[in-house]
Amino acid sequence: MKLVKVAVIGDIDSVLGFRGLGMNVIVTDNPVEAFSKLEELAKKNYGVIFITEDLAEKNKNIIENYVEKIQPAVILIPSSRSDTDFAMKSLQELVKRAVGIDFLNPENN
Amino acid sequence: MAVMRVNPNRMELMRLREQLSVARRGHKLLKDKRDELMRQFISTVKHNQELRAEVENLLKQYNQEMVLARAVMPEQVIETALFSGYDNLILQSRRKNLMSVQVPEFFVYDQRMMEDRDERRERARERDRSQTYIPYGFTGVSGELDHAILALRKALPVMIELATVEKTIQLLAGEIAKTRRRVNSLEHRMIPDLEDTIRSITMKMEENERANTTRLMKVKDLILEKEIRERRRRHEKMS
Repeated sequence: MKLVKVAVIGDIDSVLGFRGLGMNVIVTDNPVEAFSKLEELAKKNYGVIFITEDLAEKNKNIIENYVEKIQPAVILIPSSRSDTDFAMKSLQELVKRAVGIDFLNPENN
Repeated sequence: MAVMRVNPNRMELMRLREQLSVARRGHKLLKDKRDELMRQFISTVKHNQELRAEVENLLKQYNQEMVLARAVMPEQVIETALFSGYDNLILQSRRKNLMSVQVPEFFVYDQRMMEDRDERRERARERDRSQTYIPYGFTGVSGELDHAILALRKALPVMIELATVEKTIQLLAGEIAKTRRRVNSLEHRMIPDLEDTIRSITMKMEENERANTTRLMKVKDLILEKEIRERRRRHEKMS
């Protein structure tokens, strides 16, 4: 058993409130910067890092680098401004790659 | 059809047969593993979808509250209010073994677990209060922000569960892909190759056997012929 911290990366509107929950909040609009911050956090004792969808969509490294690692868990959250379905889509992509078929997509059933 | 480059002898044949039976057994086991992983994976994915929908819903509520808060207060007030807190949210992370895949499990860390009972009861009361705990002073901050933070607090346990489940999915996906590759390479490559090689060795050995037999027969004929000629010669001499 281990104790880990939690961080959020995203634009200010989406992540500001998480400060009120005691998470480490990193405000950025730039996907490249977001990734370097993520790398920095991953080296420290962060177990869960939430990151907004639109940042992850613009920089694929953000999720792909940490998919196979047990820590940190990089989890996408919707941002306040855009609603892309990127979190869902990337999950579908992952499922497709693993299983070979896309059983989440209703069109294929 | 791909025959391996091996010497067609009994030794190799035995070795390959052994290998084939191991490969078959391994294939069966891996296939079972893959099926079970898949089953777990699918149910986890379904659970994840529910959780994600819930998180998105809760965060939407929070965003609405936040918009209200933003409307009644200047940006700076909100920022100073929130940034005055510190990062004290600590999770407990435990490793779980799921089909020999190490997956983490996250819980909101609870100091009370570590303390003895009297203190715990005391703390429990405090916890009730901390459910509505707001990390900033109330002066100059309007109540709308409180609502926003409380809405977010509601989302927190779901988000943590989502983190656990989604990480599990990510790790399981990797394991499934690996197992699938192994199953496929055994099924389509290793086992047919071994079978082909074994067949070709058996055939080669039978061929050798036949060649040997014919050779022996031929030799026997030669010897007999020689013998006959000799006896005939001796016979002629005698008479």
